Amino acid sequence: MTGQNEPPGDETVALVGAPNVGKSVVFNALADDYVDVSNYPGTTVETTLAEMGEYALTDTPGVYGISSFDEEERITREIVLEVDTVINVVDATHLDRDLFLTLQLLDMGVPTVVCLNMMDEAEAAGLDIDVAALEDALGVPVIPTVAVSGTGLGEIPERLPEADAPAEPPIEEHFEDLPADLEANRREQTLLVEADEATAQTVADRSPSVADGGTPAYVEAGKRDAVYGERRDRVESIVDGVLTVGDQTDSWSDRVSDLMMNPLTGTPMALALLGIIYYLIGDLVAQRLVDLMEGVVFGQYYNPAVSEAVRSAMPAAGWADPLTFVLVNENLGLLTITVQYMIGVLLPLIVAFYLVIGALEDSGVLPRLAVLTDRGLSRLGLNGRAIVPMIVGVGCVTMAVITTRMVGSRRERLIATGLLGLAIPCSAQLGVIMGLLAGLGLVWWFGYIGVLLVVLGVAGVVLDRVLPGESEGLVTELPRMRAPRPSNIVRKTLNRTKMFFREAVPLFGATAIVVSLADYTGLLEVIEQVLEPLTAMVGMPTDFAQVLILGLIRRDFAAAGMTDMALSAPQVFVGLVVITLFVPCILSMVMIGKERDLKSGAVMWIGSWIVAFTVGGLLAVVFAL
Amino acid sequence: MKCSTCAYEYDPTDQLECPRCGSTPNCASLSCADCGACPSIEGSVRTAIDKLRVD
Repeated sequence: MTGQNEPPGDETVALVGAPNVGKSVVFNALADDYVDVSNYPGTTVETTLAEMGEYALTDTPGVYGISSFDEEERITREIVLEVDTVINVVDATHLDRDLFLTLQLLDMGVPTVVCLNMMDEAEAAGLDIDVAALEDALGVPVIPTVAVSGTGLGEIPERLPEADAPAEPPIEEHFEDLPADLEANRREQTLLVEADEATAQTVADRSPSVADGGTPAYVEAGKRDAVYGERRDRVESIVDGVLTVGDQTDSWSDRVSDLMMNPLTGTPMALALLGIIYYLIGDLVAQRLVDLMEGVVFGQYYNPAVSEAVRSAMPAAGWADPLTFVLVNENLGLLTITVQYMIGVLLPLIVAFYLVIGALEDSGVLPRLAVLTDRGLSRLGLNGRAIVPMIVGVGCVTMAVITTRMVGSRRERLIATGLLGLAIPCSAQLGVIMGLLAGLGLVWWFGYIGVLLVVLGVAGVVLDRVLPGESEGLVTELPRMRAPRPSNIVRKTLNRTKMFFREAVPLFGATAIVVSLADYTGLLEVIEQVLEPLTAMVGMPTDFAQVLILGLIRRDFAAAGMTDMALSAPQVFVGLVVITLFVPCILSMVMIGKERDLKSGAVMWIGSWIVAFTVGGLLAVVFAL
Repeated sequence: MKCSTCAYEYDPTDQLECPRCGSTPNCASLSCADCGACPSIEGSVRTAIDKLRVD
C-alpha cells in the first residue's frame, strides 16, 4: 500500500468498484490530497490513503468482483476483508455489471453505501433508474452522483453512518457446506464458498488441524459457478425492477467512438492521431524545444557559467581534480550535462508526453486505439496497449520505457521494452540519421526502414516464443468518449512529473558519477580499444569505435559522430543500422533497470550488442565491405 | 474462455453470459477458437445472427 499520508482516522473506509467508474474522482472529491484520475481502466494499481474527516479513506484498484484472480483483485480483497465500511462506486450505465460486486459485498456483510455514479450519462443513454426502489432492494443507502461535476458527492459523508449490510443474506445457506469448526468470519465464509484460494490458505494457516500440503478446498468443484449464478440471477431481478430503458440520444461522442472502432474509418483516424502525437512529442518538443534548451539555454549560458564557477571555487590541489571532473566534465558532468539532460531534455519530453497521454486518457481515445491495433501487435506477443510505447519510443525511448507500464503483464512489458531498446530509434537520433541518409538517396532510406522492421518483427516473434508464459489478451472496458478536461490533464501532468523526478533524480545522479569516474580513470579508453575488432567486423574504420562509445551514452551523439567521418554510401548505411540497433542510451538503460530489473536490463544490453553486430556483419558481407 | 470484460474464466458452453459481470462474448471481436460456445459452424452462424438481432 502506498500511503501519501498516514491518516489519523480510526474508522477505515474503502472506495470499491469496477475499473473506470470514477472511484479516483470520488476519492479526490472526498479527500484533501490529489491522486491520478484517468479515463482509462487500471489507473489505480496501488492504493492511496487520505483523510476524510474522522475516517481514513482508501482508494482501491478497480475490480468486477472480490476474488484473487489477478493482482488488482488480491489487493482489493485484502482491503475489503479488513475495512470497516465500503463506498461502492457503481456505474449507472452498467448497473447489470456492477451490482454483482455490490451484492457480493453485502453477502460478505461489509457495511456499504452505494455511490450510483455517472447518472448524467445514464440519462443521456435513456436509462431511468428508480433510486428509491434500488435502495429498497439492496437495503443500503444509494446516492446518485455525477462525480466529474461533484453532484451528489456531498451526501456521501453525511450518509456514511447509515452504511449497512443485510443480516441474513441468501448466500448463508451455502455456509452450511463449510466445516462446522472452521474459524472464519462472514466475509471469509463468503469467499470460501466461492472457492477463493487465497482466503482458503489464510483460514487453513489459522487452523492447526488442517494438514500441510497445498491449499485446502473447502467446497466441491463448481460451487463458485453456482454461487455466482445465483448472485447474477439476483442482480438481474433487481435490475428488472429498477431500470427502465427509454430512447437513447445518439451523442457526438457515440458517433466518434463508432468511427474509431470501425477499422475502415478508425485506421486513418488512428494514423492521423499517431502522426499528431509524433509531431508534438517527436518533432516539436524532442527536436525544436530540446535543441533550444540544449544549444542555447544550457550550451551557451548554464554549462559555461556552472563550469567556470566550480573550477574557480575548487582548490588547485591535485586531490580536487577528480572531484572537479565528476562535477563539470563535458561528457556527463554531475552539475552540467546531467542537469542538462534532466532539465533540458527529460523535463520538456516528460511534460509533453504526460499532457498528450493525459488528453488521450481523459477523452477515452487511448483504449480505442489499443483495440484497433491489437490484432497486429498480438503477432509480436504484445497487445494493443503497446501501441503507445512504440509511438512514444520514436520520440524518446527513455520515456517510452516508462509507458510500458500500461502494456499488461511482466512478459509483455519485457517484450515491449526489448523491442524499444533494440529497434526503435529515438527522434534525436532519427533527426541526424535522416540527415545522413538524405545525402544518399531515397533507396537507402527505405532500406534502412526495411532492415529495422525485419529486426523488429523477428525479435518480437523470438521474444514471444522464448519468454515463458503466454501473452495476455487485451481486456479493457471501453469508457465513454468525452471532451478532455484541461484542469484534470494539467493536474495529472504535474503530479506525474513530480513523481517521475522524485524517483529518477537519484538514479541519474549515481549513473553520472560512475560514468565520469570511468572516464577519468581511462576505463572508457580501454573500452574503445576493445571495440576495434568489432568495428572491423562490420566493415567500418577503427574510429567508428569512438562513435560506439558515444552511443553508450546517447544515441544521437553516436549518429552525430558519424557526420564527420569519411565513409562510402554502404558504410554510412551499415554504420547507421549498427548504431540504431546498438545499446539504448544511458538514460534509457537507467530507466530499464528501474522499470524492469537489473538482470533484464543486462540481458537487453548484451542482446543489443549481439544483434547490432550480427546484423551489421551480415550487411557488411552483402555490401562486400 | 476468459471474459473479455472482467477476465473471469468460465465455460461458455454452459452459458454464454459471463457469470460474474454478465457480459456476453462478442462474435465480432472474438474468434471461434477462443470461445467454442457453439457446437458447430451452423451453431456459430446462428449465434452470430441471434446476437445481431438482439443488438
